[in-house]
Amino acid sequence: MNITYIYYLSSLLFLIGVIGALFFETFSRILISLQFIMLASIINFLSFSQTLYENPVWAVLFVLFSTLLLFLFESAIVFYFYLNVSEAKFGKFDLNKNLYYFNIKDWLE
Amino acid sequence: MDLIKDMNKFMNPFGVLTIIFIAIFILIFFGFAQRKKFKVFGLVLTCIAIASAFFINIFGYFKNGGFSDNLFTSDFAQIVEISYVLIFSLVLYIIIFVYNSSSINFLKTNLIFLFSIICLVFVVISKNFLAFFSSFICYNISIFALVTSLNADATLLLKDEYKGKTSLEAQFKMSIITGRFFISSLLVTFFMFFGLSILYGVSNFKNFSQLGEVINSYGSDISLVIIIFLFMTYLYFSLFPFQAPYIDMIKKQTISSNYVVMLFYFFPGLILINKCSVIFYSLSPVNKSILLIGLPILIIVASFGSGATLFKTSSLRKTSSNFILLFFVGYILNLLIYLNDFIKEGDYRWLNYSILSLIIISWLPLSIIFSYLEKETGFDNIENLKLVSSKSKIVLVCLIASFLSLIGIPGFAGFSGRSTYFNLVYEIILEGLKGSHSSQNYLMLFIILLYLLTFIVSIIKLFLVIFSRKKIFDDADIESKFNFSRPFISLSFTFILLIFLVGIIYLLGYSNINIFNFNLANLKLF
Repeated sequence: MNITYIYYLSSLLFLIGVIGALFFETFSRILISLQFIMLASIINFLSFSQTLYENPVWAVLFVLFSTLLLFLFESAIVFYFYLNVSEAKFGKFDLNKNLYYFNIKDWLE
Repeated sequence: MDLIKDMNKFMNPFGVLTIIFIAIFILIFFGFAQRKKFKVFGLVLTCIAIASAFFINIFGYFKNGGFSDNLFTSDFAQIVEISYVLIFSLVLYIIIFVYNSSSINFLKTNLIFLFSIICLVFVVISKNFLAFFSSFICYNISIFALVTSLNADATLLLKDEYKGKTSLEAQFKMSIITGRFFISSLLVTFFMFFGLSILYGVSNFKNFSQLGEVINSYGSDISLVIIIFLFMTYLYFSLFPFQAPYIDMIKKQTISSNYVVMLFYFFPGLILINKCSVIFYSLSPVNKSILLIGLPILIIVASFGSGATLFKTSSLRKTSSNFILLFFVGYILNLLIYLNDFIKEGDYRWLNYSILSLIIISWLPLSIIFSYLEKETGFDNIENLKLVSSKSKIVLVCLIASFLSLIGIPGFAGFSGRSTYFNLVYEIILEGLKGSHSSQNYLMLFIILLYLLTFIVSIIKLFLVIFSRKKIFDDADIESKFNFSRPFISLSFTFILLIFLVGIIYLLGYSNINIFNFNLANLKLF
């Protein structure tokens, strides 16, 4: 497969992830959107290392360490929510607004 | 003797890390201790560890010089940055102790705090992207743990206050607010991951210096990475209009958590800007033009946003948090000035360090006074500032000195950070369009004036609040009971001395005046 198509695919996944993270209001949906960005990055790393460069070990190591740590960060936040929110509410946990919801009252007062 | 020689070699840059690791190792045995004497022991041990790390950091560099391998580098820039990290951490630790020493979790928080210092030192010295990214995420996790553990004490207090359902609701709301901010932080980290993946495709990079060389020699096109970098900067520093999670959290969480976020959370971003500035400088004209368009927009919008908040808000917390955002905008402004060739690389670095100094010398006294007023009166209202003028003249002088220092009046410490801007404004007005930079001149003039004006207008507003004669509280009890404690007045006095001392030393060096046959300008700091 041509590298350009892979690049288009990863860019598309990235855009879906960014739009989802910025506009969804539910916690789980935002996290899934973030997974799209991660998927796009991993596709980029592995495809570039296979097609463009001879020694792909560094990219694989980078992906391995980064994904592990990113999942650690993510799971830390999820676990924090789980501890503070009762189990009944955890399933439908909601931010009630966008991640960067802009309110003039909050801005100026 | 050989052992001592080996230790000398070991000092740079891992001496700092070793000392803090030793402190963590000792403190692990007291992690669950509740008695006050163990907490004081933790305080003394941490302060000694940070102070000796500071000493070893500088001493090791002068003894053994720089250090560099595949993963880490420790040159003069890194030594200065680590020194700032240690100063910031000492200040922050004392603040945490003052506000949270009675907490049952204090020593556990202390351990997390020390771990976050180690992560931050790794962020500073990392040269390889893998090392940088890993330490950056670890640092974010440790800050998350620190903030949530400090907030946990507040929710415990709330539980006592409102028994039953209300406490759970308070806990629930607090978790949403903190979680929202750190999801935003997570988003920034994912952005960085994607940006790095594209950079890898463009340049087969491994580290910062290699990337610089590749971009220099092949003139690689990294426009998309720059756009992602600009967007990431915006989100990371929570600049207007993406400041909602940050402001929401600052308004509602504990005071010590606020200081953790304001002093510590943003530090890796500043370091990343420092690391990338040389790479940005050597970009191809097409790529550079994206930065030269994007950065002014970012600065203008962010200055306007924070300035409007500072002008309109009646909250003390929002005032101090927006002031610190303006400092970060100043950091980006410095990058723009450097990319436009108005200053050289050495001056650019000193300008950035002067902003960090300004945060400690000028912003910190102001912020500490605000926090004290809020804690003692129980209201987060800017009208509390009137109490300063009626209750203590020393604190009033300290507050006014820090205000004037923030504007950059000569003779105050802030002049060291602002003098370059004043010089640039003066030069641009003199040169006009005739100079070498032509039309860029007026844009730069506008941006610098807007940035300085934001500070001036917000500080005039604070002056008006302090000296207005409006009645403060309906309940006269609060006003009569309120008083500044003696240690706080002594602290304010120390800050006054610091502001004037640094200001006068800088002014003497700046104006080439000899003292005892020694010219301060020879220190190369000016």
